[in-house]
Amino acid sequence: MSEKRKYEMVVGLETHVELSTKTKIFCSCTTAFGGAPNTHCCPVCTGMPGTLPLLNKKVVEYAVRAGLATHGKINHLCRMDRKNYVYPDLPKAYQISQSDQPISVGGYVELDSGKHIRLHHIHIEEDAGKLVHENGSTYIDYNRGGVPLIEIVSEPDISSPEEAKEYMTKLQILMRYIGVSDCKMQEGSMRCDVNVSLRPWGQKEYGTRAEIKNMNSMNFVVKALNYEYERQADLLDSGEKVTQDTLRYDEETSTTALMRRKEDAQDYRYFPEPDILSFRISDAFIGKVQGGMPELPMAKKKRYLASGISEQIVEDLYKYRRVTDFLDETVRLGGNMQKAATLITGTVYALLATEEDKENFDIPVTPGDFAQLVKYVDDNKVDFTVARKTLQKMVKEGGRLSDYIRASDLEDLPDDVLREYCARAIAERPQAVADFKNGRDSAVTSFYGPVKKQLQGRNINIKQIDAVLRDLLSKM
Amino acid sequence: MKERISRLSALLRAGEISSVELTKKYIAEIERSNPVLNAYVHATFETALAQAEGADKRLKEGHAPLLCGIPMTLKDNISTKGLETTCCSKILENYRPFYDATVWKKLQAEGAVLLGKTNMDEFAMGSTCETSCYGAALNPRDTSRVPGGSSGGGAAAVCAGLAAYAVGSDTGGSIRQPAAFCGIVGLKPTYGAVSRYGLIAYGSSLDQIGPLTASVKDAAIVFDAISGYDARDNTSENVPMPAVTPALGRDVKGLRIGVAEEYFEGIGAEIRAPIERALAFFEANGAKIVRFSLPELKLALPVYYIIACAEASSNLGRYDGIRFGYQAKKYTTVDDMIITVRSEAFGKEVKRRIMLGSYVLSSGYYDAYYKKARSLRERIVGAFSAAFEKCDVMLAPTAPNTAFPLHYSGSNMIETYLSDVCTVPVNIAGVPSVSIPCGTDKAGMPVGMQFIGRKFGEADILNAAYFFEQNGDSGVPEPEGGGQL
Amino acid sequence: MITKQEVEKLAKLSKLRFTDEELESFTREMTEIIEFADTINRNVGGLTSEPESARVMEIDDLREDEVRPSYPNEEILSNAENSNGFFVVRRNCTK
Repeated sequence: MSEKRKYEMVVGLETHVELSTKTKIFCSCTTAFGGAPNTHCCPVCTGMPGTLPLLNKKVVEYAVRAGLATHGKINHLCRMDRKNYVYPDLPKAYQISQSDQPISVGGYVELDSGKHIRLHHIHIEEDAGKLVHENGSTYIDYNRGGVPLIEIVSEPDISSPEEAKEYMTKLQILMRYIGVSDCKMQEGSMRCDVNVSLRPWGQKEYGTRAEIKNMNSMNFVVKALNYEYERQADLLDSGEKVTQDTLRYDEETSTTALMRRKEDAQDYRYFPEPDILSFRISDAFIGKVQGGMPELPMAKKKRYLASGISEQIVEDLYKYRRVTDFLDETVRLGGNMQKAATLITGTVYALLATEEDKENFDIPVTPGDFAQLVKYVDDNKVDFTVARKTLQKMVKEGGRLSDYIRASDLEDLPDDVLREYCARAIAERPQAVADFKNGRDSAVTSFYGPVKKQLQGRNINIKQIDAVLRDLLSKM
Repeated sequence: MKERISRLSALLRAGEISSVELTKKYIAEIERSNPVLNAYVHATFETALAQAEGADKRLKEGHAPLLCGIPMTLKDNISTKGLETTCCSKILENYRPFYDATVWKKLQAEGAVLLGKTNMDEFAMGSTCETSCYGAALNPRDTSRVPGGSSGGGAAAVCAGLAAYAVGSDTGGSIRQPAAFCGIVGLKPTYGAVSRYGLIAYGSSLDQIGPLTASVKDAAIVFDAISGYDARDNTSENVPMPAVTPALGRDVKGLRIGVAEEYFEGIGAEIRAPIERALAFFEANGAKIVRFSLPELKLALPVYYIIACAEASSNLGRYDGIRFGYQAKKYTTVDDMIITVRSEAFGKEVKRRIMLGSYVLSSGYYDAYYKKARSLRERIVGAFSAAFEKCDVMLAPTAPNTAFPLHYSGSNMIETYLSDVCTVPVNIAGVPSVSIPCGTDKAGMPVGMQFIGRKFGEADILNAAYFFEQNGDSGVPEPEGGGQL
Repeated sequence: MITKQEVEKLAKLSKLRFTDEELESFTREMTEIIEFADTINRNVGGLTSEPESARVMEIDDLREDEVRPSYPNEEILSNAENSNGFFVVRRNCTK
């Protein structure tokens, strides 16, 4: 769609991701969500005079993970800096962040098209508190103040609203995979600032950009970008200039509105945080973090596609780390990958209502039992439909596979037993027998059901049943 | 007589006086003198008596630490749980922290008795104690003069016998200069030797807590009690710090005393002469005087003002009237409230330094000022390291002058700032320094000199200072309060 | 040299309000101080980009991610105007 547009859209994203550490970035208060106001607080995270910050090791580790997962270069010497601005949600009147020596520099996020969205850097910083405006008063809660964030800053490599959305989705999947964040946009654990400018196709220089602050939904990002395209294109068409403003997105009207003019741009007066020493990240530490990294989603996606799973199923699978872990384990235990994938996305997913359920993939079925079930299907011992029903029951009610399918069920059925089942079915349906005798050949199918019912899930080839039925009928 | 702590401690242990009795004596003295001297801004007598009772119990049980039961004072920028801590600023009026500074925790564990919080320049910004929102403290040796600053209240209290010892802070000379002005001992420890947790920040990379005492040994005892690694302060150093008190009493034979000529440039004869006499004394006692040039010293003052103000402008951003302190009576928006609070409750010098700090950090000026200053600081650190290859300790004046008259204002801002010229290099370099009295001027006001040491060289400088105190002659009368007991 | 306009901008950044008179005197004083600070710029010589002697910590010197109890809400709010556990700033206030 962007090809049809008159101008090329140039977009860069600054994505804030809340890290899922147990404690805040500079004190030992819990990061647990919720809690009565100002109960997850201490002198440090409420900025009491005289207090000093203590950097959380896990925050650095998670940021290194994020850097490695995006192919960034980890800085061997990192530093914290103060970003000074006054706002009631920021108790110290400065945010401890990083400017010159962030955790990770460069790297990229790969889109499905193979395009790389390059990253400028990833740094760590603290979140602000929450303000509630009510009855002419401002109520302040610092429970979220000091919760660790990473900010992932992209280069302006994104050229359409759709790419912006895909980039965010890919980031979200990636961060969840490596276990550093749950990236829930609706809860604010992932949000972004969007920089957007237009330029005539073929022009090298960037146009003047506007920044849309604090977007907490991918669909809003798409809508805001579409709106910004129209707004900026109108300005350029009429010979006016885009100004370097800061905007806010209005969900009601799907438009952007001026928040701050360029002239009022903040001067953050960054300088090195004197209360925290610079810290070294050794190759040994980077190696350790690298060693603990899972296979990354894009690699996994490519592997699944190569193994012949359909594109749609792969799309449904690869996003969820736990699902892929379950699938990979099933395959390792001998289950057929395609059949397993189909059962997961077809049957298990039907019982997982939300994205979160799929993300958690908390089902009472072990990969071992699941692999066994897939093997039964593969060996033609259990009918696929039966397998689906069994799996459904297991997911809903729990229990072991052996509770549902007995070993005796899987033994080959003696011929005389099958003949007995067939004979019983025939005996119960004289009308059908008459029809058959009168030349209506298809009447034989009406015995299939009653025979299968007696088989109770055993997978007997229908051709075999058909043959026995015809044999018995011919002898009548 | 000068050694108060060990003497008082001996009396307490011997049961010749109880801590409660001793505390009451000090309280009486404070009630008598403080209305004039204004050394204390928040009395904590009830707390003191309760602590004294506790101390007496410990003393009876035996094995009480040296500081147990001894009445003392803290500068008003050291956080004390439940007790007013205001930095002598209107903006922190009625502020009672709900946590203790590490230093105060350590002293409480020793059984210290807190008589109150002492006067200081607002947020430790000044060298006269006159920017305090409670009015100036006076110099007990001449009440028409200032006690120096910013830890002026603590210096006055020790000098007038209103506390056995005081704990202050030194960002650019705030312990040493008032010690010099009041004729007592003041130690600025190595940066990282004493935890800053709970010290209300002025210039975070320069601030350091230290003792103001009547004698060198007292300073050593207090330093031993408050120093050491603190996991709550990332800038505190996790290195072995052997006690310095037992190291006192060595002779000075072979000690190399460095004299950097730049420290004496523009210093008048009244200050220079007693220091030269002290040098001759040391030489006569076997020390070697090494004279050299340290041109980097000339950079220290502008570098100090740039770095200290930059950090201060950021550190003081949090005073907005929302979580603690002064509240505005009338305002419209939240932003208006913050501006009103800060404009009404910060004093002029504080505002000036915040503005200057904002300036040197603002875009367009950062490289020329802050970044440059940081880089020059590095050079000063290097110059001190190099100097300590030539000598073991350095000797320098503590201040270019003796105590100013009250309300003295130089011909301009810079002249006022220049009075810090001798003290700030040590803070820039992060090394320790102790100021002791070495003589008097024509008016009989004390002159101070400082021994400067290597990082964690507290034992070296205190030993040199102790040697002079015990064997030399400063001609400075002992501070008050020695005789009352 | 610093202009009155720059001082006004700094005041805004610093969340301070000055009367015209104060602005004048601050401009004068700051000009003085900045001229003094400029002595460092008359100093020529190589500049190191980053302090080399500055202390550096290793990863293991950082704080472990272990939760400790927070402070009681009453203490957190003990020095502030508050309501229902929140810090509060009332707008359009005349006390």
